Amino acid sequence: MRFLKPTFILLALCFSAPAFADLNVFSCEPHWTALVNEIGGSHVSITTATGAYNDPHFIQARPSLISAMRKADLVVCNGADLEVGWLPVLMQQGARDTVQPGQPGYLDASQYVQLLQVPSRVDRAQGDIHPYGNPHFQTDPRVFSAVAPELAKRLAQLDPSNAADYEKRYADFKTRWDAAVAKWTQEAMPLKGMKLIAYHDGWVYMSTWLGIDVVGFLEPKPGIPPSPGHLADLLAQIKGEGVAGIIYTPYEDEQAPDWLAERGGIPKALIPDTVGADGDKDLFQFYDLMIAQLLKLHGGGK
Amino acid sequence: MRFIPLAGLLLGLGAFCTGAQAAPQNNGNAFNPGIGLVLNGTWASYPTAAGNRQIPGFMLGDGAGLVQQGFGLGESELDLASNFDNLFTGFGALSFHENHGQDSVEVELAYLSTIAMSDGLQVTAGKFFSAFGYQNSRHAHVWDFVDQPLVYEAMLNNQYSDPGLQLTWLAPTDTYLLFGAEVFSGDHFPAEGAAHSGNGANTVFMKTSQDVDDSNTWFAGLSYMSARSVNRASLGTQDPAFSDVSDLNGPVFTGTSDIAGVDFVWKWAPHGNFYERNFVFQAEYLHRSEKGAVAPFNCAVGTSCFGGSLYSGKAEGWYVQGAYQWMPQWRFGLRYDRMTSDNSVTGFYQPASLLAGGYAPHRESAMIDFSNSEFSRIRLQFNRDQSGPTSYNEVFLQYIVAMGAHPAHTF
Repeated sequence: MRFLKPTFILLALCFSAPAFADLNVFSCEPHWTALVNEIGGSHVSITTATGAYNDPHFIQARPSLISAMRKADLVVCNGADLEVGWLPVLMQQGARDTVQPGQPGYLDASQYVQLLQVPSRVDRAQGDIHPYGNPHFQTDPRVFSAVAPELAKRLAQLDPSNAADYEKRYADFKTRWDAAVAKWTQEAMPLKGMKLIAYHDGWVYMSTWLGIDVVGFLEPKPGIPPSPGHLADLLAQIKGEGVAGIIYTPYEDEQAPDWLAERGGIPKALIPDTVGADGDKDLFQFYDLMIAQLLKLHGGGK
Repeated sequence: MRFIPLAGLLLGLGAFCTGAQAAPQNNGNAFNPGIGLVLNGTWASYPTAAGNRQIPGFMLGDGAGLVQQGFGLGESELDLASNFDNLFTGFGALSFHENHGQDSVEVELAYLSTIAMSDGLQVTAGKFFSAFGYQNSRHAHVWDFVDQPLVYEAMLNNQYSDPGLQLTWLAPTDTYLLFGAEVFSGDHFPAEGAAHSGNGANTVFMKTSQDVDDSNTWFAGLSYMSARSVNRASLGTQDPAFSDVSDLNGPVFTGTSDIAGVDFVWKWAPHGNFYERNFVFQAEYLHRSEKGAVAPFNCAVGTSCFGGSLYSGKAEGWYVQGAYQWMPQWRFGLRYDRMTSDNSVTGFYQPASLLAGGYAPHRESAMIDFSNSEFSRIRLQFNRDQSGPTSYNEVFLQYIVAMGAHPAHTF
């Protein structure tokens, strides 16, 4: 499958839209951009810090993002330390008092999500782990059901003149989203019990939602690239455990997945972990794509 | 919800900045700052003569020079970071290193910054790295090479920090545009001496940056520093012509140093995916003019034997460097340094070290480094050092490891 880069990502990454919108929103990841678009509509202009092609752990604190932060009325991020390598610099240097943590202008989505994999022991010998729990929760659509009402509330609070419209758009989104989640859950029924190997430990929310069993990771420890020795272990695991396939994201190097898929004789699938990698323009298309890719793996890659 | 609202409000940014675990607790630890320790160790091999640092045409501060031969504990630091309250955040760093059996600990940084005033204004007070240039405010553990560029070594004593006050204003534009000014006490090279009413160095700077596309970002800055010195000592050896006054050091300088700098940085990573591959290009040009008097060490201004000469110097220096990460964990980098000086000394005291006779100090460097994770790095560097007329080969091995909370890096 070819992943064409849609122009809008490029634009979203680089420039904030014209300033005549009622609210300037700084979104850390494209899935929040998509959600804010659903509820904010034409009232918001959004700057997105990361894209489907970069690892949200490791972007640079680009000065353009500091400028966007300076004008932001609302900041929406996964939180839970996902952005710890760069967001604090933007918050500090953007010097915007109304979007600091604790203010209504700062929406830390992790506060509204039940985090999984909260470690009982925190030691960096375990790799780049997250003391608050796994922050890659956007792979379960029910997360957006939980965050959307808070987002609608914040938008209304920050821009009271359009409060009625935010409420209406939220109600509309909720109806469509609930139906879509039910549909995806239904479509994914056959995936229950499927065993997968993932590149990074970023899929626990998806696997919990769909009953998939992620049995191994290409990274020997979170943040440490695959090593030949570790790949050999995974190969043995594939043969022994009946793994259905390997999944990785557009920002992860495909060499290791290629190698393992070929040696193991199992399919691999590129599954973006956020909106915008494959022409998907919103959250609905993003999950359509995810489910389609998983079903394809389940069918042996065909 | 993991934060209780009160703890969330008070601890929010501190915990957030540092990555420290901030589960609500009812003992005193809940408000502990983020604590980080960075260890920076080196092993160096070079001819012993190269360690006696002299750069013709330049008076060097005490921070100049190579890391010690053999094993050494380089600039390591203990960092503390936290919010003081809802208005101020702070950072403290104690740096310690060991040089020829001498342990030293110094307050490297200790400052408070406003968290968020309105309209893009920010105030920083305390001891901090000046925002002059690009490389000056970068902590040693994020340098792309073991050592600073020659021009930083010669003109800024590697890295200028001093107690002072900084004011910056970020323009409300889509293009990043930052203006700032600093006033410093002027107790550190290139300034020196307390006899300037507590204000011996000032800077103004502007910085701008734009994303070209989702893979490319450039950054540029203009800076100006004006520093005053009274009896600023410099590294050096006994000048044979002045052995009768026990001139064990280089000339002391009293006067003004005005330094103007231009810096430019370009960062590339396919689709901004720095983890896989990236390239960082960095270049700076500094121009300095110094005016004042130079004197032998023991005959400085204010002493009865003052034997100074009038000194007027123009110097410039630049470097270009690039670091390429061709796969995760691995980078290599190249750097070229060059400086020139044109000094005139009028008077009986004619310090040989200031009169370069047209010599242009230069240096070529190459490095390769491996980062097992974000928190550890091992580097091998080779310098062909021609900062003096004799060229030396220098080899460095370095490790940089960070434990605990670690502040996010600036661009």
